[in-house]
Amino acid sequence: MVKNDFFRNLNHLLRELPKKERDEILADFEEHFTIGSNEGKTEEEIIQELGDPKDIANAELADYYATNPARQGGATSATRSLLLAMVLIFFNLVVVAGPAFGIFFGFIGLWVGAICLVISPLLSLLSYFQSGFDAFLFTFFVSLACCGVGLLLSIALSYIGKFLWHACVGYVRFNMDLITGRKRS
Amino acid sequence: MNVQFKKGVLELCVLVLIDGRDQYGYELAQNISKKIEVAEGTLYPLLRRLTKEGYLSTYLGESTEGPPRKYYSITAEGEQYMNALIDEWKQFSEAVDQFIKEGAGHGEK
Repeated sequence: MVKNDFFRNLNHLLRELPKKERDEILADFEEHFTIGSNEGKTEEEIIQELGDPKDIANAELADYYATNPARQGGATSATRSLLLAMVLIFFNLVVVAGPAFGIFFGFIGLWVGAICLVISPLLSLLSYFQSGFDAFLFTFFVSLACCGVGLLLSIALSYIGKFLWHACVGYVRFNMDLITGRKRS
Repeated sequence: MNVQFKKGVLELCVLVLIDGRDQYGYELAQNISKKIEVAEGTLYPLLRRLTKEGYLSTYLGESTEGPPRKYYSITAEGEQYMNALIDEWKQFSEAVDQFIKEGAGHGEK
């Protein structure tokens, strides 16, 4: 780790603090680095002596939240959470549930289609028993092409699946945050 | 040394050192880490807190090389606080010494 990493790291860990506080903290370390390198120390040595940025950030955050409580007014927050939960349930049932189910079953349907395409060369064997070798050859090559399309579709679907999963998790988390009143940054 | 243990004592060390002579952060870190193994970075949060609590004050002092440095000096309030901490420390360390002495005596018999 070099100086830049140290600062980027520390800045990131302190992101909850107001910019003014953060700048003050970083300026102190900037001074420390300047003096240290004037005395002939390398950036690595200075970082080594300073220790883990996480420990520094934790101490700063603890001090900050000790003097600036994160949230005020806990009395009304329970009623607020309950009301919000009810509104959210209603909203989710009426507005979100329909499209979400639609997308879910559409996704399943596409997967079934993709799987059918992939195994279509196997099915083409049937035409061998029904209509002889020439017809089989034709259907076989057509089905090979289908198989390729099916594979491509599966790859696309697995990406789409991942995206949908993340969207789902994100949406649930967003709901939870709304209810508990927690803020993420 | 145990981390929790050190945390409390470091505050006292910082106050005592600054009471002896105004110092800038880097200097203070060096002076402490000469004798106590400490992650120097964690001294800065401590200095900031003591400053916010009014026990220390800061001023910019010129230096022969490089930009001016942020010096820390102790306030009247800080001296009071430091003296209280010193008393506490003395009581505490005497008690611990006592325990060790008694404990060690038993072990030998």
